[in-house]
Amino acid sequence: MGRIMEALRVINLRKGNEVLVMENIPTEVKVEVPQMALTSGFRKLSA
Amino acid sequence: MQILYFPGCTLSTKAKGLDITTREALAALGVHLCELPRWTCCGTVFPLAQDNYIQMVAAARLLATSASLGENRLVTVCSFCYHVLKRVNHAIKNNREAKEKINNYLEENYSGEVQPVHPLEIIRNDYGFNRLREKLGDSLKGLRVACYYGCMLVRPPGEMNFGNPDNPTIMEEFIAALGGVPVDFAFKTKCCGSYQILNTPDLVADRTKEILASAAASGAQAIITSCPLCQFNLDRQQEKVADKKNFRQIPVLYFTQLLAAVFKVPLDKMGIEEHYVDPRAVLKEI
Repeated sequence: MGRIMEALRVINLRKGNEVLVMENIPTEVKVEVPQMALTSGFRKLSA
Repeated sequence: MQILYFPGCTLSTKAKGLDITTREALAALGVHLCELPRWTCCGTVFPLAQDNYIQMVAAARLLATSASLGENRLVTVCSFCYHVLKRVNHAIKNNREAKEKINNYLEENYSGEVQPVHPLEIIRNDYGFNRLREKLGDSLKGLRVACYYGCMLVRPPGEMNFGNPDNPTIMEEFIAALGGVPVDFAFKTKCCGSYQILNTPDLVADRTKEILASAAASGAQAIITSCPLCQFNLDRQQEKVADKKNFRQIPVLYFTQLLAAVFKVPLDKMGIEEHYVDPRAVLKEI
């Protein structure tokens, strides 16, 4: 199931459809979250 | 005993408490962590796409560097780092194409000979929970602790090998050895929502509410975890529900902070200033 979900996500991202857009993340969240959240989020959800 | 140690990027910033208490607590047990030279971020996530070996390179480089130093084990405590290192190592050992392409890129000849290990595995296998019980068996004085694994330590089971993926027990054994009472709760391996805090915070709110409510219903006085992002999500979400009726705040600690408290590491050196729910009342009792 994980591989299927990843495949769908990758197909979507490679079409240029971003889910996570940096400008849309609230500033207070960007400042407070551990950076592992930003790294993993951008790797999985940004084109 | 000296072991090579990879702290990871978050332990240098938002999770300094996890780094400091890991080093201090293991040192008190005679395990001295030697930091891996010139380390970088592990990459945080493991790619499942078959054509995405580049996302494995960062973790592979860390493992290859460890091998070049003659080490066969690399300790890391962050659940994300542990997950990525183990899965990349598994890929290199079992996927010839992955091994070849990654080694070509790194200009290395790494074959998966380094074993990523978690501090709980060091304590269980090298020090021994029985020995821990003999030395420190009354330390937690019956503190009721909910052991939260999250998703990254235990899944996929065939690669992580961290115990039963639905009911792991290594944290519970650790707590029991220190004289605490591990409480059983239904959501100990349920994902907290992870990086979805960035774009779908409501999902994280729903997930963490379930986890916290389950732990509270089981009578937990504290929750322990090994993941800075789990700690952040479970801890900070309590701020959003603080005014809700019948909500009992529960401090969310790293398991190493509990062990450091047992060894009387000063509270001001544990990084607890990053916590929203103040754990001092719990730690002072130890």
